[in-house]
Amino acid sequence: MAIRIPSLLVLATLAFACMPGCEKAAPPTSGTPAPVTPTPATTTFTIGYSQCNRGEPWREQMDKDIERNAAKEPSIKLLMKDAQNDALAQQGHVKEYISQKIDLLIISPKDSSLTQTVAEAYDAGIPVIVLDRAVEGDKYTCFIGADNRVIGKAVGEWVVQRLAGKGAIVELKGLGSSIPAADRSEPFREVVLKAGHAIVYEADMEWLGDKAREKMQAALALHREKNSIQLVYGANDPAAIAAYYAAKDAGREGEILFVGVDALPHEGIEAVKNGLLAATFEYPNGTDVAIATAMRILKGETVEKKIVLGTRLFTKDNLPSGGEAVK
Amino acid sequence: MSDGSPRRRFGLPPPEVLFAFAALGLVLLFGSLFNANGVFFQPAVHADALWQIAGFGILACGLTIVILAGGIDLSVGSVVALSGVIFTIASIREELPPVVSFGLAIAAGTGCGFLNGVMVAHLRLQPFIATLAMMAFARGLAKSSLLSGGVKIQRMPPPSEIEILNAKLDLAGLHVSLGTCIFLACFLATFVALRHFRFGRHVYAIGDNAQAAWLSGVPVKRTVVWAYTACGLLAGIAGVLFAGLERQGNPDGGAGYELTAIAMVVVGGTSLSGGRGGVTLTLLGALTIGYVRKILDLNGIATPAQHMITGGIIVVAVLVPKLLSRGLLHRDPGRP
Amino acid sequence: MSAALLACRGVSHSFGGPRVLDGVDFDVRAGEIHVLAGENGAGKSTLMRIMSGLLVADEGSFACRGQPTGPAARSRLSDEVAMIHQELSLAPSMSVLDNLVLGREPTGRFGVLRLHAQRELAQRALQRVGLDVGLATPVGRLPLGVRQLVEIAKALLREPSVLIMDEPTSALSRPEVLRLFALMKEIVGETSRPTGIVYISHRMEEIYAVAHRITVLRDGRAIVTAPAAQLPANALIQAMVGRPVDESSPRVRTEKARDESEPDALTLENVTVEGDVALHEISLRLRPGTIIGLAGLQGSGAGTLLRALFVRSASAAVTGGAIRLNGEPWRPTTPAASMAKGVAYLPEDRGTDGLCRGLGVGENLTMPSLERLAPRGWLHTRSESRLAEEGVRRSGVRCRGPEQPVATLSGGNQQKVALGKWLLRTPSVLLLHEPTRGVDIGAREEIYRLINQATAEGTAVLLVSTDLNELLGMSDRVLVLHRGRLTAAWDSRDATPHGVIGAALGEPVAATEGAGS
Repeated sequence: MAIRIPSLLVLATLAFACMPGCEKAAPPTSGTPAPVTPTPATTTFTIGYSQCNRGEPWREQMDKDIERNAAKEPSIKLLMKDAQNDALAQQGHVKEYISQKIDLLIISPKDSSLTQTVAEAYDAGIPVIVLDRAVEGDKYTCFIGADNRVIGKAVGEWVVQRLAGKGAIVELKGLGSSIPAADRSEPFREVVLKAGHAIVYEADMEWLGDKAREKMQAALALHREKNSIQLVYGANDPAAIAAYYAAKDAGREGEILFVGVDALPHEGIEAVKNGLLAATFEYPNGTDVAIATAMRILKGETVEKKIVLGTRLFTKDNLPSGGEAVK
Repeated sequence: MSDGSPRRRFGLPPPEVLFAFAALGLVLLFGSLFNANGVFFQPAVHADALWQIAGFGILACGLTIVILAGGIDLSVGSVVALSGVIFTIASIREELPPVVSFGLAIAAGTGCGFLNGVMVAHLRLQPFIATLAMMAFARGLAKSSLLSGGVKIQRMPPPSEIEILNAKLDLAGLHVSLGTCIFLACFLATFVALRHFRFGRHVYAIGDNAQAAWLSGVPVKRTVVWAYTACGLLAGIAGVLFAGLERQGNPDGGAGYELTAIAMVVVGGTSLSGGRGGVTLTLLGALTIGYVRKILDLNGIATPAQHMITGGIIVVAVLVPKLLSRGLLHRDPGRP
Repeated sequence: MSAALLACRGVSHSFGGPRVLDGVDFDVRAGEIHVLAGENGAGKSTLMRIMSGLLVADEGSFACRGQPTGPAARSRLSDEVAMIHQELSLAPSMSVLDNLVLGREPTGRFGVLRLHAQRELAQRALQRVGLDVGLATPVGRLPLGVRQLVEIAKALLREPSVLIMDEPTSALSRPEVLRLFALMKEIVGETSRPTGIVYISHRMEEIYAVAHRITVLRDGRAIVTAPAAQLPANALIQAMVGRPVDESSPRVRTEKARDESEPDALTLENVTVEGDVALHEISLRLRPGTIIGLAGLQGSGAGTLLRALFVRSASAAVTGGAIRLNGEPWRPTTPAASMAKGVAYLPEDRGTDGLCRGLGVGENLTMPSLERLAPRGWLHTRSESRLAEEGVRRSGVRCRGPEQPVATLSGGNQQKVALGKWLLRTPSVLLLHEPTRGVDIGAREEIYRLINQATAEGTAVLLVSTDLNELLGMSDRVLVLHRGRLTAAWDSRDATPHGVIGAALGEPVAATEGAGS
């Protein structure tokens, strides 16, 4: 008896361990496509949407947003599939869409290994909108993506405008080897250094909040004079928030401005609302533009091959009005 | 001085303790040399360092018990996430009384540890496999829709019980964080359990030779279950502490923490094959690893380089005592 | 008889200590089964390992089919001699085919296995031993007797001129044994391929069932080599025992007459044991303060019985009969439960079963007494160190202090710790398995002193030892086990080495009284 119960638990444990992607909190949308919008009588267009991996907050938000944006267009029926970070699964999903003869494909590809599959859809006469991550060649209709360099520059310009005189800045960078980390950092540094500000401490926080806190503690120890740090730029919101708490624990949160990137509703936006962050810059998922572009394509208009998304700045002042687009 | 293992009443402390002290001393010496313009001599830096070490140190205390008993626990990182998520759900989402939130989180950790123990002792799974399974399970549970649904649990500003965890106690002018005090309490509890309780002696005996221990009347299964349970309990406490530090329950948090904690145990000088070492060594190992990170941060060493340096230190800290004791001490002439 | 297939002259060997083999002459002729007899520790295994090329002798010359080779000619010896070990060396999860050809797989170019040739080779080998099993069967699924035949087939595949069999029948049933003997005779009878067999056994009936010639080893020397017909059982035993019995008995008997109304320390009635060796109808009475010695050669079950009286496990478990401990009915379950009843067990192998060698002397000594030292879990450090020091003093362990790791002690001192930890509990029944194995003479005397002291305090001892001097010298009564049954019993003053060895080899003995007492 004493053995019976634990053994069941062990079986459950192993079953969980063996389930692929169980730790991704697998959404029920995998496998068969699920109609998201109720089908009104006027439906004319079926759009297939292929997400590479729903298991991260930013992409989860992306899925919610595309549902919301698609629901605004009564003529669209949106099909959704999540490949759970598996390129082969995503290829399969696209092929299913092709055989279903959808009217338009929106895909956020896992990586460029999807190039061939996307081309197949395009050759089959299905217009393709590639979202966020690019594929190679030109066999797609339109690429829509954000540009981290644009964001990095926007942050830099905002900082220059916000800081009076010469400021001392701490920069908490993303994972050193990743391109987004460099893209969010280089234009920022260029702008602020040119304006005469100093970056007094920089460190790689590997996109992780707990690492960012450690680095911020070191920065605070190295610059322990009051007002020796004016601003902290965290390459993502968790880092900026963690840096805020580190400063708070040192009793210095009041003298420093914290700026982050991503602007997810429950994280960065919430932190701006509560005064933790002075500002956060949206890394847009482009779903609104994607749906609008899809409508244009379906109505027969020609669209640009590449649409680069701008970013939005959120501060406590402009939050009620939904932020402010940065050009 | 003692390493938490057997009484040593004659002469110098045992060589393991000397080596662990030497390693820590060397690291602190480096800190004093590369002191970042005197910043290293600021008391606040050391309060910070201890605070950073605290969570990992608590994990390392639990792992010391399990490793001394000849096992390993890979699940503590996931248990940290699980316990943190449960704690924040209870306190932030459900707004339960703090005592209940703490209790639930620690109970979850204890439960995971107990299951680990049952799997190892009664189902005779290899510790590596059993705790690897628990590592996946606890992570999945933390992220499942039952609990967090994969979303960070936070509220701004955080509720008071989370802020309390970041309180600092004024001890003779030194602002020591509550986390550090909890770490020291966990260390002392582990030390006493290993040294002054029958349980501790059983742990050492099982780690050294489980068969002989059993034939000497040691309740092997019960002790193993207790060892893993204690490790889970401590991981649960650490989970609450980390959640407090980050002001959020992060279902993705704690990843890889088990390796940092194991490194602390090993650098201290406790043998991964069981039976030799002690929690005092782990305290020294935790301080060594923690201070290395702190000193590298203060000197602005890039993170990839930090990882490489830490790897090197682990090898050196384990290898040097081995080479020296082979030459100087002749403790085990029969062993290879 | 034809010329020797293998002849050894003046083989001597020592493992860095006293000589295990001392100028042994031994030869094997074509067509003969040559039995090698001797007590445990006489040097049989060492000689066999040298002959099969596993070990290089310190001295000695060898000749294969008349051609002399040096003592270091291991490769020549391992080509000519195949050995079948006591513990089968087959891989249980691999198939019969894979086991047969293991290490000599016929290969083509680039090491590619020639599967067809393999099967043919294996098929022929099985035919030779008259075995009909599927080549794909995993060996682990075969009965032991069949596995033994597969092992022989594997050895014969190498076409050795000499085949060594070390107690091959210990796990076999009667029909399987007969089948094996028939096969052995067939092998040596084949004229096309001159082969000789060296056969090691501890069973008298087997020796005379197969032997053409017999050589007796004693203390590393070949005492006699003679045709079986010229060496009757009596003479064989005499040659094995040979040495003058040590008259000075180490036993010190308690002067104090014990109260007869006191219950027996241990009573066994028709006890059945299952495990490594099955035992049947074991009955004995052990009075407080006395020692019963259990004699038995390998496979007799003496060690299994001892272990089964302390702990129930797959390798040794009491399954039938009645046991009374100090007058109360009792069945061994776990070590902790047996200890609570006052039973203590000194295992044969102190390294794997007896000691936590990485821990200190003190910790090992107090380990069985922790329950008493820490009734509520809290360990009283001071009373513990007092007990540890008492243990060191009483057992006469020579160490720097109680904290010295046991692994750094000499074998004799380690053994004193392994025994001493039990004596601190003053057990009512002490089960001793080879208490002086691998121990120097000085430590041996001290261990005897400890045992005497324990009996003086009323402890009853059940002693299993393959050292006849020790057994006869220390015991008040000697019982002999042969193949899992008690076959003889003597008061120790009536017991003779000759009689004990004879009974242990399975010679019918007119026991002086019932096996009980």
